[in-house]
Parts: sequence; structure tokens; C-alpha cells
Amino acid sequence: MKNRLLITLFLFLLGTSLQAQTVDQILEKYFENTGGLAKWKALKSQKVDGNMSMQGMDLPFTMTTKAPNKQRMDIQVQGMQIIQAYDGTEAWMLNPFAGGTDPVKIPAEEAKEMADRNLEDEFIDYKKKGHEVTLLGKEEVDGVSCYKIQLIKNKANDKEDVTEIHYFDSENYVPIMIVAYARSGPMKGMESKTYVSDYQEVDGLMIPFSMEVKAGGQSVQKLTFKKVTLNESVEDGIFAFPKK
Amino acid sequence: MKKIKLLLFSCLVAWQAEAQNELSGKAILGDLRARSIGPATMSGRITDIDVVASKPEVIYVGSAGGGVWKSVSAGTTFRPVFDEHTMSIGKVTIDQSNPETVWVGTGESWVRNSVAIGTGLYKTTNGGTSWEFVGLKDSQHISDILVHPKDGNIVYVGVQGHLWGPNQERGVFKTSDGGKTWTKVLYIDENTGCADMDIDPKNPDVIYAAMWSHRRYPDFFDSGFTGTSGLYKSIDGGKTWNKIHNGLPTAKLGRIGIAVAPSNPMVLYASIEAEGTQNKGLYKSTDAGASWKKVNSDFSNTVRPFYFSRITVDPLNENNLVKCAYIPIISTDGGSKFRSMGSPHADLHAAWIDHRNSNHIILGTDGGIYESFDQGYSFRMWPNLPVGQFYHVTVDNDKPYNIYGGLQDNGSWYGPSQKAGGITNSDWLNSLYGDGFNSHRHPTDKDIIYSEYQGGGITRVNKKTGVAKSIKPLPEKDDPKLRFNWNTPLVQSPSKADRIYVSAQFLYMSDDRGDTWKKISPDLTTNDPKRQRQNSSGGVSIDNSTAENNATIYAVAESPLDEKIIWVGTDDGFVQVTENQGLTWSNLTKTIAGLPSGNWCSYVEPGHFDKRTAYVTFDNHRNGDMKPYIYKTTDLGKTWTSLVTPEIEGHVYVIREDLINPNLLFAGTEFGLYVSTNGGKQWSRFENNLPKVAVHDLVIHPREHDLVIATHGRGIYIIDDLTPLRQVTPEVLAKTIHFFDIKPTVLNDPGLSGRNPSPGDDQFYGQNPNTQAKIVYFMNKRHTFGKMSIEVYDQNNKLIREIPAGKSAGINVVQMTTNYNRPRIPPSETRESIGGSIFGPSLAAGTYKVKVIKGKEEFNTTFTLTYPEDSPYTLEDRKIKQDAALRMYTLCEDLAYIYDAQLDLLKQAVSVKDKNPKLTKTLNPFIKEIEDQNAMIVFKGGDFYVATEERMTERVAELYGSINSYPGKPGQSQLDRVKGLEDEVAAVRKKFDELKGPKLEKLNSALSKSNLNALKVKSEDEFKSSADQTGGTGQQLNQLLDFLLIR
Repeated sequence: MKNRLLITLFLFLLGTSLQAQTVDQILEKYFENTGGLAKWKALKSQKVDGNMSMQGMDLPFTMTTKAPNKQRMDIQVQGMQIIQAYDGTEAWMLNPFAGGTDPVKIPAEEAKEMADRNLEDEFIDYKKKGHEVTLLGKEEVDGVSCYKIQLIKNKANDKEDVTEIHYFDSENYVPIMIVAYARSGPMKGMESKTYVSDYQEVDGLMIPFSMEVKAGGQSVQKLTFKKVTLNESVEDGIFAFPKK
Repeated sequence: MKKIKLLLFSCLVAWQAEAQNELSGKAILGDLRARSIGPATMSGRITDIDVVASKPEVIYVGSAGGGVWKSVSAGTTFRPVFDEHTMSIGKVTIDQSNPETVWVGTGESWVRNSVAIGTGLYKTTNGGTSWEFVGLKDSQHISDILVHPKDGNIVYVGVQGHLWGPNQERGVFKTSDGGKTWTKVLYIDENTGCADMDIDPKNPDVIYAAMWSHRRYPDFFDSGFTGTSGLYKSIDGGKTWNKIHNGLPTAKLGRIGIAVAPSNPMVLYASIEAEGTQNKGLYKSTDAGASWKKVNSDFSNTVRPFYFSRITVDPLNENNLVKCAYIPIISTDGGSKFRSMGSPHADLHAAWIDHRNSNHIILGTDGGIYESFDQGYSFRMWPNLPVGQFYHVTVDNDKPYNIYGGLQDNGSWYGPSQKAGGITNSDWLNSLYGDGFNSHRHPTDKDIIYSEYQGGGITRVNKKTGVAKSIKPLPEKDDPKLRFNWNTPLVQSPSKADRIYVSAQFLYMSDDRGDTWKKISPDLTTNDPKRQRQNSSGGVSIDNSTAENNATIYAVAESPLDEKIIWVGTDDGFVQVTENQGLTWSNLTKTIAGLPSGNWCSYVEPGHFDKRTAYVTFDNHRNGDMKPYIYKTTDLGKTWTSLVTPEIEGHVYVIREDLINPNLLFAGTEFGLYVSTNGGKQWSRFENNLPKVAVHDLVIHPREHDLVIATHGRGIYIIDDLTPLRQVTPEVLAKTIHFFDIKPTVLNDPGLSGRNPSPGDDQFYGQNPNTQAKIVYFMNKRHTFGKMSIEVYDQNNKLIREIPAGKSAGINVVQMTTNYNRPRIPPSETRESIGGSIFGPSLAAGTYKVKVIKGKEEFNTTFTLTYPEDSPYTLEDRKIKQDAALRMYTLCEDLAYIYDAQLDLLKQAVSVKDKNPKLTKTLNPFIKEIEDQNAMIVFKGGDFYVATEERMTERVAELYGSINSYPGKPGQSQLDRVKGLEDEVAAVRKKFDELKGPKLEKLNSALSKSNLNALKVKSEDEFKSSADQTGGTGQQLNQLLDFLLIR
């Protein structure tokens, strides 16, 4: 009897909370449940050691990101190193498998996705950033009822619009799936879905340790984080094009 | 603090999940995925083409049943952009002033008997990435969309309206606010829709609209119908309209096509269907419609107007025009003379002429797209649009099995369910011409295929000779004329290999492959004379193609449990059954409560577990009723239960009962595939990689347990391995995690596909089944918080790999490559050595242990690998290979460690030397020795391509690769060489032992005298934990690297 009462009470509470959700309330709960907005805003760098796999093929990687948008990915294959990096203005890579053992610069058009990738969550101060965020309704993902939130990056500024759909678990207010669209090439506009899970606490922030990218219902790439280090001091030099 | 809050929150959530109950059906289906195998070889009916004028490499194609496709490479590659919406496309129009905006009107306007309905108008503003529904929901068929050339907010839509009944949402609609609001600006009556429009590009307030009164019935077509067809013109943006018939025939009119010459809008062309042969043909106006003159009445200008009426005028030249027709034709003299454009597939529906080059023409036909650069003298087909419309599908029992089926206007074809390198166009072979329907192979005679063309053209084809023998049942003395449906049943008996059934109004059975027929029923239809008007069908133009043959038997099936029980359904509403092979028949129609009379029986499916059970579906859409009808009987038709639930959308073409689990049902409707795991109490649409496409037939492969799906617009799809779905029960659904028993994974031996590795990008490849090992489980709740992963162990409990787990609620399919991790090697800059070492040794056949670790809980299961049955490699040979490969594997790993440990010592020594120059003399010999040794181990300084040299790593890795890549016994020379290399590596190991032993000891004591720390040797364990090791195959590595490269 008591149990039932509790359930009713809980469902009632849940019910009321569902009614009045605005997109900002959902985002507020998201930040609150994952460590607090202040902590998120204080994030200065992130280093991830993990494993990347594609159709069962595994490659270890280290991804280092420094605010606002410096980033570097190191991958080891049979003792050989592949690097892909962006120093805030210029992207480059070192990939012996693509021919040549010297680093090469990446043309701007092909580096635009790197250039747009920021360490800070795009939902933080999204209005200031010129992004548009809309609650499109509720939809089920992986058997979970989700808020479907459309993010159009740069809608209100001069940069190219980039649309993504984020599905926030409506019980826990964390994203569990993100839809993005290819931005160039013959498959431009084709959707990919990134499923995120294995949220774990790192220095007070909830970070998803697992991501799986699917296209056409097929798994394309899986990322598993082994270790995440936050706010460690990172030299700018590692992002820069190596001087000979 | 936050943590506590989080914890509390998740507790509440967990508790609430228990309070909640079932997962949705969509969630249960989870990771199960349909794969598309095309084919694209015969493509399918194209209904419209539009091209971005300012960027002509950007092309949109609308298809009759396969949605909208977009190319950004002038047709080299395509991708579907409309898969979440209705697949029958009437019109695609680009807003040329803002070409990221495209309008799509659903519901084809070429309203043949098999045409599918639409669900209104859609718009994208981002080049097809997402679409918004913008109204006209009840239009069903949309013929045209005109966008104002300067103001994209002004759009006119020609709504043809319902085909199978009256409706009011038809005529010309206009929006001036980009689709937010619509005004019906031209409306005649509930039977008359708009069949075509055009606009004066120089004065866009001038609009022409062809209005068409027409109606279809299951047994009759009437073009012209109420006599209200006509050609209209507005000069004020649709506010007012006038009939422009001066010079047009006064006789009753049918369908009209209208086109303005863009280069001179005074010139108009109209294709006119009218009563009286002398009245039909192409008319021309040179005064913007004030008067008309007939200019041509060739066959192609008068034939079948409901299917071909469109005219396309060259934007550069008012005298060049293409007329859509059975045989496509073109005129270059203003319409007085035409020549045919021969090589494209028959039945042209859409044409585009380049606004920069009159010789460049793109045609959309019943068989795909054709492109000409010489004004229609020669064409190339675009081989990459898999939009075929299958009516039926069957499978044989070959390994791998083949798939057989017939398509709208594309004959009968068969092709493999899988093929190394992907299923290509040339893997599909044609077994018969005409429209294709039922087609199947003889169950035991591999050379015999039964195929048919429309209206009962039954044939038996010998694959060896390619010759087809007509085996159509013929009337006996005193028989009435036989009535064969357009899509005539041609059915294999499950009990006798040589027995087939064919039906007209009577059911025929043959026990000798169709050479002799026995009539085993009376007329099983209504035999209603009012339903037998096919000779006069067509309205203003007679159109007796057999498409309207009615009062025929449409569905036939022999019970797999009792050859005497045969179920029959007719297109005029009857379901009949015999229990004595046709001696007597019972008409069951009246026992189905609530079934509208005259409802077309689309499928009969006898039960596989109980001979008194059967399922029937009805498709009443030809009477204007689009509702689903599915019934089940368990008492030979005395009583019926409806299996329809609100989840099912669209009229039903097919139902199938699973061969193992009677509660597992599959239904195909106009809007997709539906699955029920509880005997029809609840249905879910199958969405994973299967578009919302019409599903006309289904078959379950009895050996492979695959569901083969015949779509009417996107070719064939396959859901591989239904075994997990079969095991879904209420008990399973209640479990935290449940592992499904699945069939063992066959270890495919590596090999080349034999295909051209660089065929270009315009090829279509049908997807193959996934050949990785699978771990399939159900979870009742998604895993979002905390770690979840899977560990896989071999028979010796050695951990092979840790892999990411599937996290979704419902069915998860986790895949793992069937290799051990590949060996580490020293960092070589030689392609060959890396290539050799990229493949890990393949796992042996056997059972592997799987541990799913979810937070603190562990769940255990296994998977099994087997070798292919018909492999040329014996188990013994495989074992010799495996031993040799593992020996070479060890050598790779040894070298990798020795090299790395020596390098580590070298770095330490150099660092000491740098800080203590006085020790240079002591350290130098040690340093030199390491450098020399490492230089023996691996070649450095290459360019990873042709600047290479060979050292020990290169030799070892290459031999490892050549032994490992062959599944059978290595050659004796290879085995001898293994031994030789083992000796060489042993020598390296010996030197290393000396180095890290006595030599290092000596050095360290010298260092100690200088109060310096001793150099340390990295242990093998340290090395292995620092140098990550990776699994997979070279092909996958290449794909991965390809993926990582920013392109």
C-alpha cells in the first residue's frame, strides 16, 4: 500500500515535471545532473586515452583538446604514429599510410569540421554563441523516451549553419544519441547517429565513456574511453605544425 | 554532493522502470537490420527529374515507389533522401532561385493499375537533409509543382486527387507564404483533378492547368469520366481562369499534357486525349493558347495518355521537344515530325533537356534513367538506382541461396543473396520479358525456372538454353474465356517437386511442370459480368492491357501440412478452401465478420503448425478504402479473428507466419514491413535501414532463416537470421539480459572477390551479410550509466579481446572479428612488413566464452565458429597452418620486444652520455652495439612505398603474412623457412641477452662508480602493456584509415 502510494507520488511528480519542460529547463537539468554548469564552464582541457574500433578492428588513440578548440589525435598502428591536429587556425596530419612520412597541412575546406569542434559543450551559453536550440518533441531512442532537441550551430552568426539533433533521456536529462549530417562530399547531408553511454564521473563531471556511430543502421565506429583527464596543463606546442 | 543527488536520482529511475512495464515493439527489434541488395541492373519506374540550373551536377530524381534520390555528381553517385516518408513520388521541383529548397509532391501521377498513393506535399530547405510536411494530406496524387522563378514563396501545386474515388482536395492550389497556407485556386468538381501545369517563365502570373476527369475501379479505368476535362489559363497568378479550347476538339476529353516553350512563351504544346481517333494527338499554339492547331498524331503522340502525356520543350529552342511515350520520341521542327529515341527502356515519363546544351537529354523511364549527349541518338543508363518494383519473391536452396522475382515492366530476374565483393548488377540474370510477377526455381531441378508475364503468360524457362516454353493453361471444350489476373498466381506445391498451381477464374494443378493441367475447381469468383469489362476499359482511349482483368483468382496456397488443403483468394472478395484437393470448395467470405464486400483478397498463408490455421489479407484500396485487413482462422475458415491493430498503416499486401515460432508474424503494407512477436496482438514497423516502402511479398528462407522482402520500389531487402526474434517471449522481455541462441558463424576463408578493384563510383553494390562472430542479447532497459563491456575468451580461457557492448533496450547484436589480435612488430617503414602483420591469426572453429560485464554484474554466454562445409582445406591442414602462423607470430612479437627494449636502453644510455660527457668513451661501444643490432632488426628511413629495404622484421612479417593469409597447409619451403627464421631470431635474442646481461652489468658497475643510476631493461610485460595491440584484418584497417583521413 505504502509502495503504491510512493509510486503514485513519484509518477505525479514526474508527470508535473514533464508538463512544463522548456528547452532551457531541460538543458539546465542536464548540466545540473552532470556536474553543474560552473564546473562545465571551468573546463580548460581534456585528454582521453581510448580505443577506436571499426567493424571490430581496434586502434588505440589519445585525444587531447584544449579550450577553445585546439585538438590533437594520436593513433598508433604497428608502432607507427598517425597524428591529426588543429592548432586553432590550421589543421595538419601525419599519416604514413596515406603516403609520406612527413606531416602535411590539411586544406581548410576539409578541416572545417575540426575547426568547428569546441571543447566547451555547445549548449553552454548557446544564445551568446549564435546557436539556435529548439525542442522538437519527444521520441523514443533505444527504448528510452527522449526529448528531441535541435541545435543549429551558428544560426545567428556569419559562420556556416550546422544542424544536429540531440536526444536527451527524459528521465536523466543526459544525451543518449546525437544525429549529425555529413557536411561535404557526395554524401553531404547524409545522417549519422552517435549513441553515447557509459557515463562515468571524472572530477565531478559526468562524461560518456562510450560512443558508437551508426549510419544506415550499421555500426561505423566505436569509441571506448579508458582514461579521461580533465584540466591538466597542456602545452600549445603539441597542436602546432611541427617545425623541421 | 552532486554524486549523491545523481545516485538518488538513478535509484528513483531504476525503481520507476520496474513500475513501468513493456518495451515498445520498435525497441524490441533493436539492432536487427535489413540490408539492401538492390538490384539496380533493371532499375525501376522514374516519375520525375529536376536539375539545379546553376549547378547542373545536382540532380533530384523521383521514383514511382522508391522515394527521392539526389546526386551531387551528375549521376555518378546517388543517395536516397526521402526514406522516412511516402515512397510514391508525383513531382519534384527545385526552387531555382534558392536551390536548397525543394518541393516534393507524393503520389505518382502516372496512374496505372499498380500505382501507389501519396500523403501530401513536402518541402526541404536544406537540400534534402530534412523534410517538412506542408499540407495537402488528402491529395493522394500530385502531378505538378510550379515555383515562381523570382519569389520562392509563391508555389502552385497541381493536385490530381484520388484515383479510386471522389474527393475535394484536388485542382490547383497556391501558396504565397512558402507553404504555410494554401488556397484552392482552380477546382472543377470532386472527380476532376489537375494532371499537368506550366508557367510562363517571363511572366510568371501566366499559368496553364490541364484538368482531368478520371476514375479507376478494380476492373475498369475511365479517362474522361464525367466529361469535365479541359485546358485552363490564368493571367493573374491563379485568381481567375479561362478555358482555352479554341481549336481543340469539342469531343469528350481525357488527359492533357501542357508545355510552354521557355525561350518563346507564346509557343505552347498540348498532348490531347479525346474521343475519336482523328481528335487525338499533339496540338500547338503560337499565340499563348488563344488558338490551337493539331500538328501530329503519330502513335507516340496518341498512345496511352494516362501513362504518357508529358511534353518537355528545349529551354534553348522552341522547336525541340520530347514527348513521353511508350517509345520516347523527339521533334526538332516544332512538332510536325518526330523520330524515336530507340535504346532507352520503354515507357518514358520524365525528360530533362539541358538549358546549356540542347543535345544533352536525361530521360526517366519504367527502367531507370538514360542520358544522351547527342540529342537522343545514343544513351547510357545510370546503373545505380535500385528502385525496382517487385511483385513477388521466392528463394531456392543453393548455397548461397538465390532470389527470384518479377518486376513492374522489367520482367523476371534472379540473383544471389550474397557474393564476394558485394552483389553487382551483372550478378542478376533475366529469366523472362514483359512485366514480371511470380517466378521460382524448380525445387530440385536447378535448370528450371517458372516465370510469367502479365495476364497469365506462364512459362517454364530452361536456364541452360535460355528458352522459355509457354505452359499457360488453355480453355477446354465449352469453357468460357479464361480470365487471368494481371498478376496471376503461379505457385509451387510444397509437397511435390513437379507440382505447380496456376489460376484464372478456375484453379489449375499440374503434376508434370505445367505440360498437363487439371482444372480442380469451378469458377471460384463472383463471375459478375459487371466486373468483366476489360475489353471496353480505358474511357476515351481503349486500354485493354489485361491490367483490369477482374473476377479472377489472385491468391493460391497449398497447406504445407496437407496437400489436399488448398486456400484461394479472389480479387472480387472471395476466400475459398478445399479439403480434398478441389473435389469440393467452401466459400468462407461470409464467415469473416465486418469485411466489406468485394474486398480484394491479396494473400493467403496456410499455417505451418496446424493445418486448420490460415491467415488472409485484403487490399481494398482499389475501392478507395486504404485500411488494413488481416484475419486468422484456426478452424478451416469457420471463424476468423482480425489481427489488425492501430500500429499498422496502409493497405496490406502480404502476411507470413514464421516457420518455427507461430507467434512471429510479418506483414507487408503500402507503408512498410510490420512485425509481431505475439501472434498479431501488437505490431511494429521495421525501420532499421528499411524505408517506408511498399512491401508486396515476403519469404522466409527455411535453411538460413532469413526474411527476404520484396519491395515495390526499392528492390529486395534481407533481414539476416530471424533466430533471435523467434526467441522473444514474455519471459525474455522481463529479463535484465537474455542471450539468444544463434546459428554458428561460418569462418569465411579470405580471398579476392575476383572483381575489378577500381570500377569507379557509379556501381551499385548489394550489401552482403555480416560475417563476423555475433553475440546477440536482449536487455529490458538501456545501459547509460557506468561501464559496460564484453570480454571474449578462447578455449584455454585466454582473453582474446575486450569489445564495446550493445547498450540499447531490446535486441543487441554485437559483432567481433574472428581473428586474434595481430602481432606487434618493430616500427617498420616498409609497406610489405606492415601488410603482412596486419592480420591477426584467425580464430579456430570452436566455442568461445563471452562475459558481458555491466557495472558490477557479469553475464556469461558463448558463441560458436565453424569452418565452411565445402572447404578444400582439411582440418589437419588448418592445424599445421595455425601452428606455423603462431610460430611466426611469436617471432614478430619477439622482435618487437627486443627492438623496443634495446631502443629504450639506447635512449637511457644517450641521456646519460649527454649529461656526463666524460663517460662518452664508456658508453659509446654500448650505444654503437645497440644501434647496429637494431639496424639489423628493422629498416628505418623508408617512404612507406618504394624506398624500402629488407631487414629481419621485414622477412619475418612477410612470411608470417603469407602463411597466415592461406587457410590450408603451408608449403614445405615455407615451413623450412619458419625454422630458419626462428634460428635467426634466436641469434638476435642471444645478442640481446648478452647485451642486457653481462654487458649491461659491466656498464652499470661503471656508472655506479660515477654515482649514476643503473640503466634498466624494460620487461616483456612492461612492453606489452605499453604497446597496444590491435585486432582485425587488413581490409578493415584500410577502411579505418580511409575513414580517419579527412577527405
